Amino acid sequence: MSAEPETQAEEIRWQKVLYERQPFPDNYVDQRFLEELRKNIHARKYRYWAVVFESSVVVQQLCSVCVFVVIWWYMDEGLLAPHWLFGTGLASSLVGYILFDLLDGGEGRRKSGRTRWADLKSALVFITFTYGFSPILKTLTESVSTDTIYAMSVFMLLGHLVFFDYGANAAIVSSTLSLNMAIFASVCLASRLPRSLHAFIMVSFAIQIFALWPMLQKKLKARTPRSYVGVTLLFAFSALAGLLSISVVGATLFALLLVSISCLCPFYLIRLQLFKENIHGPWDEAEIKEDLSRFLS
Amino acid sequence: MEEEQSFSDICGGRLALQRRYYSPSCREFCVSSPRLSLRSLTVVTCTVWLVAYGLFTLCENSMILSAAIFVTLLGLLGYLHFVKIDQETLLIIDSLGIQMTSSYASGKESTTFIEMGKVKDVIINEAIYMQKVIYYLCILLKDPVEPNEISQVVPVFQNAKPRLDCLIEVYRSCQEILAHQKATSTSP
Amino acid sequence: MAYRGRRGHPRFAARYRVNRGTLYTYRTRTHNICMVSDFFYPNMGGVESHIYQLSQCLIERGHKVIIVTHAYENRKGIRYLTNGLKVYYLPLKVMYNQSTATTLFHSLPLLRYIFVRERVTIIHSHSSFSAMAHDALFHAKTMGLQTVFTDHSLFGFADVSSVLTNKLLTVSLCDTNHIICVSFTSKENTVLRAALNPEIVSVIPNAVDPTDFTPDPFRRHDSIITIVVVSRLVYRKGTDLLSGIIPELCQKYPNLNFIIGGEGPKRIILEEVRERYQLHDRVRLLGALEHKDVRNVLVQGHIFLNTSLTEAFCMAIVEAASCGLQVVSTKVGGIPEVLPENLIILCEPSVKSLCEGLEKAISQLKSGTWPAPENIHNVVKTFYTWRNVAERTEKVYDRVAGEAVLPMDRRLDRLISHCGPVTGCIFALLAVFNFLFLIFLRWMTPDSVIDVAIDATGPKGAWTQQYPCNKRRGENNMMSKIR
Repeated sequence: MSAEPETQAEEIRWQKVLYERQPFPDNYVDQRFLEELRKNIHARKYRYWAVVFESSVVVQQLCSVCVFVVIWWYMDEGLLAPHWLFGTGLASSLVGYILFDLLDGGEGRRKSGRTRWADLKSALVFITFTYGFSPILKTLTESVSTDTIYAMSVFMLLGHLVFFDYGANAAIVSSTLSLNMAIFASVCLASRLPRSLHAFIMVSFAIQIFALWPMLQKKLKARTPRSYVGVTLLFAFSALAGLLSISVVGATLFALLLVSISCLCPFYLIRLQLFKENIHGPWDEAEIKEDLSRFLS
Repeated sequence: MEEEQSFSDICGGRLALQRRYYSPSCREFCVSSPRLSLRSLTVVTCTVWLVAYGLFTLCENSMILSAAIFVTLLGLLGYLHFVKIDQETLLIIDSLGIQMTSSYASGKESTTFIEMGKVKDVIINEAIYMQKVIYYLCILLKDPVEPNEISQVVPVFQNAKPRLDCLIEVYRSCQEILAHQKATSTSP
Repeated sequence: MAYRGRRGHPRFAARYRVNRGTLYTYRTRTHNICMVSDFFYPNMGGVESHIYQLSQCLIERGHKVIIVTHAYENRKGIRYLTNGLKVYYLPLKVMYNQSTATTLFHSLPLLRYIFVRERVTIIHSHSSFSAMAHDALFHAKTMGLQTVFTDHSLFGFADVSSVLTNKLLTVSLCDTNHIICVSFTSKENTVLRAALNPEIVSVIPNAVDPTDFTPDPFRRHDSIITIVVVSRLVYRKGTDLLSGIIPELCQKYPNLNFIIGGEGPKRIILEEVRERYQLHDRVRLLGALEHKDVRNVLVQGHIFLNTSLTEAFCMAIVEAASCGLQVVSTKVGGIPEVLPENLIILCEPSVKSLCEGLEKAISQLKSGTWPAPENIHNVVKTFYTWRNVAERTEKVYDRVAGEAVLPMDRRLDRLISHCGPVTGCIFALLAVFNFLFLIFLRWMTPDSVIDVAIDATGPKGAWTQQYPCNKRRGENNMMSKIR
């Protein structure tokens, strides 16, 4: 293999082929070594304010959990009348419902083919059933000790935040699991409230804030980004204000958390992008880009 | 005619190989390992008793001490009678068969006899034994139905586990006898 | 592959003795090589046949070769294959995909015993998926033996699992003497993965036995065109692409048939395609093929199709070309290096591009511009031979034998400086433990107590020895006695 490469090096160029016996040693390293190496071809360039805007989904969800806990605390202390909460909830749901249709001019409704009558029916069925079952919901976890209930609620709400669909395409995301965990937390917390009416209103409020509110948010974000930013800010400030009325320390910590998520984390992400070294080359497993399911369907 | 040679086993311990040539067609090989030394016996007994005494000071139950005495005595008896093999003998007689005897330290002997008609060959084989790869001598038995097949492998000197140089000595002598036997059985 | 030796005892030396004194010449320097891999026969695949063929050719060239692998079901202990190739099937636990579990320690006593009794000088490990191969490298370095590693596969850099495995590869290869890759792409990949100096990485391709893959034009029908696919039916081999190609081409060409050999989890989608487009008489699924049957399948076709999504060195296309088939393949990994452009049609890994490639092949076939299978075979058979592979591997051994193995202190330095502070320190600590364990084992059973194994291969081997010399005492003498 090593037959005088010095003299023939000018005439014979090294080729990247295996089927020819070339006058180079086996461990020869050519100048063309690693010439097909590419770095960061799929890396995305992020702009700071775009990342901040995207982080608002996380802020929103954190605020939802915060608002939920604050409302529960008020109910538990007897500072908030259940009728009043029910009334406000119903009213804001109606407003949201109308907004939901107005935002895209009824396009989504036409696509899904659902009538208003069907919506009304399912809302009625849900309310009556929750109302009917509220004594059971109230007593379901009553025998469990209060500490356990609190611990369980904390875990469930954390789980809700972890598994929530923030728009990332990851295996861990599961919106059903996330919603179920939130509802379970609300059922747990509802059992500590004084009466079954409270429990009913707490659970229906949980549905509103964890199931309906994110749907409206998504549509707002897609249709009118400006107003979405406004709504997010408003929501965050009201959550902060609510928390402030309970605990100053808690409110400060929560504010710090929100600021770090919406401002510091994007900054850090963009800084870390500079260190990204994603290596690509001919050794990568090829991706099948076509849709092959058409041959089977 | 008798000669004695010293070899070692696979762990480095000493072994003695005695060969007795009674006649050209009859030979005996005897591998003997060193007898139970007083020193190791004392060491084991002392450790058991020390442990027992330590336990006794902890729980102050004299049953432990008596149990220790029983355990040492029974253990020694069992060891001498069932475990410790002093000598392994391979007697090979042309036209008759192979006899393997192992004598325990207590004097108990167990004997296996394989008649020549069943013996296919005597070979040295390799095997993975514990964390070692060792050579061992073994006798191949013919399959009664198909004479070219091997039905069973009987290891020889299973307890002493001598090293290869010792096995080669025995192997050669066995092969001489087997060759002799084959020659006499086919010629007439 | 002939399994000659059934039970490992020296008598086989006499039974299957081959006179090959004329074939090998006594070299000035011969090596005692130990091939270690989790993958060996009875398991089937590219690595397995590579180890076997390379060992046979090295034995032919006068070296002593033994193979160490793990036990396959009841195949335990020591076996002899053709020409006295000794295989140790060690009783180690298999974890996943025929690879053993690794603790970096539990295999040391047995491997050390084998290395000592066989007087091994060079450890040659195969395949980065084999835990045993990495263990052997680790122990060999502790014992101060020369090490060579052959990488047979490509690996990406994108996901978490590859980040971890690449780190482990860095640790394993940072103090290995020499590395062999099967293609230039594979070399680039390995150099990047393990952060190596490219000077210590050699490229030695795989080979095929051309006498096993000869054309037979009478076995195929010329009225119809047959496309052959032989691969495991898994995602990485592009079975999904195949499921798109079959209906596309079958609708276009009425006289086109497919023969598909191989088994795997993706077989179901091929069956679905066949069901849906009513192609039962035109698409034959043969199921798992034995290696010896592959040639008989290949010669029935005109075109060989390879749809792999990643491949270090594709043996299948060389085998197919050797049988005189026209090869259409995806352009991934090391495939463009394997065959010259006039023998292969390279396509992008997509249904559209592969269909175009196949149509081009069909039109060449119909117009008769494609050379006769016999001519292709004669060209291809000169490309890759095991003798050539063995010769080049031998050069690596010669080079490695002249190098010094890193002493313990330098090895620890290398680990810490080369593998990052955390990983480096952890593995340096493990190396120290391994060394202490080795000292303990040497105290328990000194090297002098370990019997030197009877040499079955190599210059003084019982199998290759032609004139038994009576002066040689000990084991060789015994072998001549047996005859």
